[in-house]
Amino acid sequence: MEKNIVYVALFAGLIAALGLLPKLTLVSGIPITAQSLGVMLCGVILGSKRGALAVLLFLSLVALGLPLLAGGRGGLGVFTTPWAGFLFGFPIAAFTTGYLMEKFRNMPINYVASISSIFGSIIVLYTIAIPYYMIAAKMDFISSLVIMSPFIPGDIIKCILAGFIANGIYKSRPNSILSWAQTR
Amino acid sequence: MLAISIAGISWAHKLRVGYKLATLSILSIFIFYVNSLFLLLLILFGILLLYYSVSIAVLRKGILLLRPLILVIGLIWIFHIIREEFLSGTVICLRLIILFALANFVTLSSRLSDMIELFLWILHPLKLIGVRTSPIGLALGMVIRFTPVLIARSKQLLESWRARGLKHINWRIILPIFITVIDDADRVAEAIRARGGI
Repeated sequence: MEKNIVYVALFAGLIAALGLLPKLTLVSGIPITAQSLGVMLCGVILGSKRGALAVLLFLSLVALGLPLLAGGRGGLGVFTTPWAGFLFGFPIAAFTTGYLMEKFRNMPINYVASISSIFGSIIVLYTIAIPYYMIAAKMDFISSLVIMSPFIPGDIIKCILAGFIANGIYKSRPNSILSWAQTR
Repeated sequence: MLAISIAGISWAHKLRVGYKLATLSILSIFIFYVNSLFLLLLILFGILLLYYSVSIAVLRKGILLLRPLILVIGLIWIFHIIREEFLSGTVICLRLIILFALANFVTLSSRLSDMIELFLWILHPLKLIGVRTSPIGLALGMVIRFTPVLIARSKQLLESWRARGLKHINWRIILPIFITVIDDADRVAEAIRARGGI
């Protein structure tokens, strides 16, 4: 019980910390913000329920007025923008990612983590964010997709990185992959 | 840690957070029924006056918060202009700005502690379906306490990377950040259990 709550709380803090890191540059020079990587890894490491709770906790603090989103944004206002579909989708994305992790235990973790992230944090997330944007901005599907498409390559790279990072964590701290822990 | 809210003793600060949020919710619904461009501009001007009535600092911060929204709104506006929906496009964009500014007004004029109190109060009904809400308060406190620690730790790790000669921040830095956090979490969980648990 204590372990669950502390992990949820510290991972919520971790999403915030990753958002405030300077932009990471990949080899090719594509800048990415690490915040959505944090959301993916919450699902990957904590599993469905705890992962979603960590993201919800993080979002609650943003709503309550802490500037924890990438770029130091926060407050109630960010939930009114047309992009807020991503914020509302984050807990569901983490849940799906974690759920898939739980379903495919004891397989090579980097593949499982990457594929779970692609399903949870790209497919599910965009399925929520695009219709939200369409309604909020009164735009059609194709234009919304065009506006969001520049972010998709970065997101795919993040999913691959999530696999490598999960693998690294699994090697050094195998007991901390709560999504794979046997006692549930 | 710095919150977004600006401390003060104005009328807006004295108002109960619950009332402010209730008013915000009602106004946010109401705004969708306003279709007149003139009326929307008037409301936006009213909100600026509202900010100003609290203090100049709040007005400045409010405008600062609007800045990242410009690109988002601009894109939507351009899209509607291309489709020759100038009037309806402008109305949509104004509505978005108004919603954003109103919500920020509540955040700017409310203390974090009051917001948390209200948040925990809203969660009360969860008890009826058997969810224990006391760990939520603990978790909130822990995030507030630990986020600055984790940010400082991340920066420290980045510094050591740079000291070893790496100019660009590579994604690999995320792994050590996670591992230190996991170690922290294990220690904190042990410490809580040693003090009687949750």
